[in-house]
Amino acid sequence: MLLSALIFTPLATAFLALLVGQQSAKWVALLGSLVTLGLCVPLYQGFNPALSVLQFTEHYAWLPSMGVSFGLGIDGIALALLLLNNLLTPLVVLASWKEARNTGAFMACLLGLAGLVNGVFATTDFILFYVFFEASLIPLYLLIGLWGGANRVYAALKFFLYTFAGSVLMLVAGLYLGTQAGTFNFTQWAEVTQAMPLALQAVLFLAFLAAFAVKIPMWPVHTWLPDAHVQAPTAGSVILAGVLLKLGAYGLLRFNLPLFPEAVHVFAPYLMWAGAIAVVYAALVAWVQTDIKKLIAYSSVSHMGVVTLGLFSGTEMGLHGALLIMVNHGIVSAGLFLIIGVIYERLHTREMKNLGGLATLMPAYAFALVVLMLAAVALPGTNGFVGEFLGLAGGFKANPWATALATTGVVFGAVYMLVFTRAIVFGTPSYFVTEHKAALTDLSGREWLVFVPLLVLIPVLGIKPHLAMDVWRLPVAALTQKPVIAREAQAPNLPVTAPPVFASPPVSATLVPEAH
Amino acid sequence: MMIPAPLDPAVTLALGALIALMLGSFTRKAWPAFLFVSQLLLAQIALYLVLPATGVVRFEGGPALLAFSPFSNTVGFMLVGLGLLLLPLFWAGFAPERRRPELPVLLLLALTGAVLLPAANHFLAFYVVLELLSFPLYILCAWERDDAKSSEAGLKYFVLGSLASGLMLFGISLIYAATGALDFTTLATLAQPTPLLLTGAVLVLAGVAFKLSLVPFHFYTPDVYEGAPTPITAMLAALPKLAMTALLVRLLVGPFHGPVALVLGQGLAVLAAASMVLGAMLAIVQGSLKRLLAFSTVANVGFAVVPLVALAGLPYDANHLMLIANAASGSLFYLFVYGLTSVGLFAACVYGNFGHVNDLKGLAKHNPMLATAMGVLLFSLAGIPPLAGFMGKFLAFMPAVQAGWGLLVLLAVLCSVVASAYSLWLVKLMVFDAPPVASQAMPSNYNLACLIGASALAVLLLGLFPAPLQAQLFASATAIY
Repeated sequence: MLLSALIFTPLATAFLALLVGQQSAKWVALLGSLVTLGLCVPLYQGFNPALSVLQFTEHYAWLPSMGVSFGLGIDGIALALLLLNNLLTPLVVLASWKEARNTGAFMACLLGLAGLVNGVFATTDFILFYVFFEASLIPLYLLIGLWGGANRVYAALKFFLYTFAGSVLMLVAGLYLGTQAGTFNFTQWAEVTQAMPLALQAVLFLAFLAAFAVKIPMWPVHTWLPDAHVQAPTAGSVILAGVLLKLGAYGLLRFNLPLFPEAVHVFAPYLMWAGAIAVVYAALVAWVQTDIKKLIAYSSVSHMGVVTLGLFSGTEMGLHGALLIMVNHGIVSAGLFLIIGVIYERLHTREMKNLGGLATLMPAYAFALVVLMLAAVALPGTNGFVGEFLGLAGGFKANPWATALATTGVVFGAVYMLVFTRAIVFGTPSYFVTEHKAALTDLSGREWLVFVPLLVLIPVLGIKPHLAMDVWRLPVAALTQKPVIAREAQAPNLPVTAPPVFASPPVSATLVPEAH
Repeated sequence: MMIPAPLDPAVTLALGALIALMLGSFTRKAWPAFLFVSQLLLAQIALYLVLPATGVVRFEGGPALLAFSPFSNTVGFMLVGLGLLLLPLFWAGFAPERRRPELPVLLLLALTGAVLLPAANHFLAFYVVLELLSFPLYILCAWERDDAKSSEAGLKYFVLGSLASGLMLFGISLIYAATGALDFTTLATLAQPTPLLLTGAVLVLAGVAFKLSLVPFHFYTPDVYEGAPTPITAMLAALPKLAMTALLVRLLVGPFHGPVALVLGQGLAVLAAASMVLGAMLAIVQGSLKRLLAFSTVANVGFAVVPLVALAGLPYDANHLMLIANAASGSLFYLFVYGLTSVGLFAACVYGNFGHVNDLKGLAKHNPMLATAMGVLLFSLAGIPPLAGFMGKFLAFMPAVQAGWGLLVLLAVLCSVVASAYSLWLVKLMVFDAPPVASQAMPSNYNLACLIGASALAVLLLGLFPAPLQAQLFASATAIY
């Protein structure tokens, strides 16, 4: 019941926020999101990371004759992302406290989005997954289109059509797998897909990839993201960067990696190159941006490039790294978009040349920004470091050259983040800033409330990454085992690429007796 | 001649039409609304009661003219349900001086034809029933006789419809020449397709495709949709499409089964593909809202025909029953949802007096409820879950994938992305754009508001809980004959 409650509490709150008046809507939304966050406590406590089966499973008939059910159940990967999503929702509600245009509908969109995303992470049925995955487009379409910037209509349409076009291909592949397996419970699909010939696996792999690559977004299908980010309101950007981008990576972990191990083996090198190119390309593009929001948007593409690299490395270390980056990027990029939102609320500008020298005027703001910046450049001690290190180290084993390229991107990442920091908080205040000095009050109590959880999590996860990694250790181990098993099933005579430590005979056996 | 129980609903409708016609000739002003509602409700109840019943109508011991089955009863039930939704639209959609009693009489007569069409078991009965459905539509299209466009629509529909009927009759005569039989049951036993039979079948299919407005038989659709009074357009989009598709299912598993259906299936695949592509693409460039919805019909009928392509050529036996029933029920589910959606959207056009798409600008600002309902309907039309449009697409495409038509389904979903563009564009106009400066408040209309709300709610509920309707359709489709 806990997972159903996680899905339906925000949805019901969204409906309620529409009904009550403009003023009470935000209180309703805050309460609903806090209740949902509260539900995560028993979820986290009740979750047993030592079990390799899905937990909190629920199963109700939905379209029984078609093999479609309302099936829920989570593993450690889903749990971590659920926690992230439900942590961010009350924060964005608080951050958009001053949204005065049609507050009820705004809060309804935020809460609706939260509930639908919870559904994506919690479901075990493909059709239900698709329903939540696609339905989450509607609230974000409205968020961008109604409360966005000047070019919001173009951005909203582009966002919607890009992601929709990607995911219909997944739908066809899913329908095919559903008819082959006789059920839409995708946890049972692996037996069917692993018996398929490689060509078929490859086609299905690409169909699923189309949906998730757009969502992540992978280079070269990332172009919708900067547009959507720049035009979206702060809350929309936070949720988009913090959670929605993870839907793509989550989909890869749920479908592409476990279902098509053979195809993964074929495509992984190319996808790792795509990830590496994304890291460097997006970092270079971010460097030359003058709009600070666009800069952070491109930094998202860059970070998600490392995620792609880690996911397709096929190593346990790489997967751990990718998952850690997903969680950390959810915290850090959410924080950075909130930081931009704070300054935009006061000055209504995002141009670098209009900013500068805020450290003297808003010291607390500068502090929060610098901590977030340090996490974004992956300074050791912050959460960003562990993820990037593991991701790159895992990738290096599988594809050293691509990883080497990606590692240079980390340097560029430091460059653009430092440019970003200098342009906003250091240097001399611009003419624009001195003109509007009166508006530049430091962080209010409400804004502190928004930033404190994120600022606390940065060193905590940086020093004790095992808090997160222990949760998903078993599913990650299962994902890295699968390719070997599958290759054995396909062609038993092929040499199994087991780690050399097991392949080589024990040291004692190789010792040559010394001559006396 | 025996009258089996499943004939009762049709008799109720026809008798109601005749009584209303008689009353109408005495009281020119009155609109016996109560009578029509009660007639339709009676027919609905009667259909509900006879849902599992079967029955046959013969003429003097000859072959069965009409053969009722759970399939035909279920389709009839859905058709009368759509008719009930249409009734308030007929009342509110016409100026008081044009609101003549003959209007709902013609609706009842067309409904009689539509309800009987899926039960037709003989090409003669098929032709007569089809004309019973078509003639009221020809008249209704030209209802606004002082309006040149309405007259043009009626004339165009009539002339082209007659041409299609002529082709169909010629096809029927060829079938008779080839086989010496006209009833579906006898024809279903003949397994030897001759070129003559095939030609006849193709001509009949052309007539069916005309009624379904499949490309390239769609040319009348935009003009008729635009010219006809809006309530009639809603009726055109809802009733004939659903009834005709049910009949097509019967043709494909009955008289045209086997090798003939295999050929027809290939043809249908081409027609469906062309309809989806052209309909979706041409809808985007339309300025007139009704023309846009007309091209949307073309695309959506194309989607609904996809599972029928899968069904064509399969033998109607126990091994293939699941697939056939899934395909037939998927197609009909899709068209029923499409009917609900288009009745709701056309009712919204009447409510707000929308002609051009730009009339929708800023609707969310001055009428948020109407904009919400229209938004739900449009997102459903685009096939976005969790609305019924998505469920319809899922149920329609799934059997096609099962039967190995994966590439056609791929084309269909890509077209549905293109088609979603115009839905999103309309939502954008309603929600994101500012209202024009000189926008007057639209008169509120209780009947229409209820109708639009009901269709939006139905679309939402059918999307969340598709199982009851799907189960009923599936069960009935296991007993097509």
